[in-house]
Amino acid sequence: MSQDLPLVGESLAPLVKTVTQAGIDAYASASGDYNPIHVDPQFAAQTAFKGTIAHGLTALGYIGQAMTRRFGRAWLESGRVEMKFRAPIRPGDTVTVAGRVVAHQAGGATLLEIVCENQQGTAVVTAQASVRLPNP
Amino acid sequence: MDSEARNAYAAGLELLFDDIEPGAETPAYAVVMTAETIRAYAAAIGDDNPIHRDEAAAKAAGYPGLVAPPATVGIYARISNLLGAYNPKRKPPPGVIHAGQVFEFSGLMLAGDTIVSRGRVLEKAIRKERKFVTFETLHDNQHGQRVARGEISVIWPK
Repeated sequence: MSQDLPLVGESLAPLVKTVTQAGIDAYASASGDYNPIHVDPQFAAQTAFKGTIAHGLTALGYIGQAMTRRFGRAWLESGRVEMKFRAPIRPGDTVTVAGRVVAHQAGGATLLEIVCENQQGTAVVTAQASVRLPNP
Repeated sequence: MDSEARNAYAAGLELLFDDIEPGAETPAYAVVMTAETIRAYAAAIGDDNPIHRDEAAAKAAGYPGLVAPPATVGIYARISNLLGAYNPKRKPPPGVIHAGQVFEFSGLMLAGDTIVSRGRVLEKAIRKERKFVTFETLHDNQHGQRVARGEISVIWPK
């Protein structure tokens, strides 16, 4: 699929996600990761997190959705993402995924900076993503 | 959550930081990525892209079959799954903190594919009194094509 190279400075269409315990439970079921920190509110209340938190890779799902929507198959076959987990995502949070093209690299990859922010403006996950786009 | 699922999580021998050897590889393990897994994963992350929901829509968009969200491979990159491939099973001690993760996607993952995954210890280091471990994860399909490579960095609890 041919597409124009995005311009440096172009923003991804923002993606807004509401996080619920039911959604976290669904992620546990889909992934098989039933770590009690995610699915057992009584257990989680006694940890340093003081409550359940979403699986870290939920953010990869969000970032992947935003990148697939923009770059399609090129992302699925040549995407790279490097994530830092900075703060927990909790039930009740609204997470906004924002991304911006920051460079076209010498090797042919388009580089984006991505931030997943909660409703308090805290960056919960930051990421650099890149994708190799076919020549237009 | 049902108690069987919790018990499955709890099974296995704990792998302690002192016993982690840089360069050590975990045994390869294979999982079929089913349409059910793909749809459940897409639903759990709220991804409504029809290529992840409906095989006919994926084919109409030019894909050979129902396409997994690339994040789905994260299931197979989990340290507990990589260590679970040992016989007897090993597991991380409770309280592992996820610090960072890298994924490189190099091929489509489609419903019905068998994904073969293994891990390798890239690094272990103590920084600011915290025990950091980084694993490389490799994921190939049934044709021997690499579909994803990852690096997962965590703080090991003990």
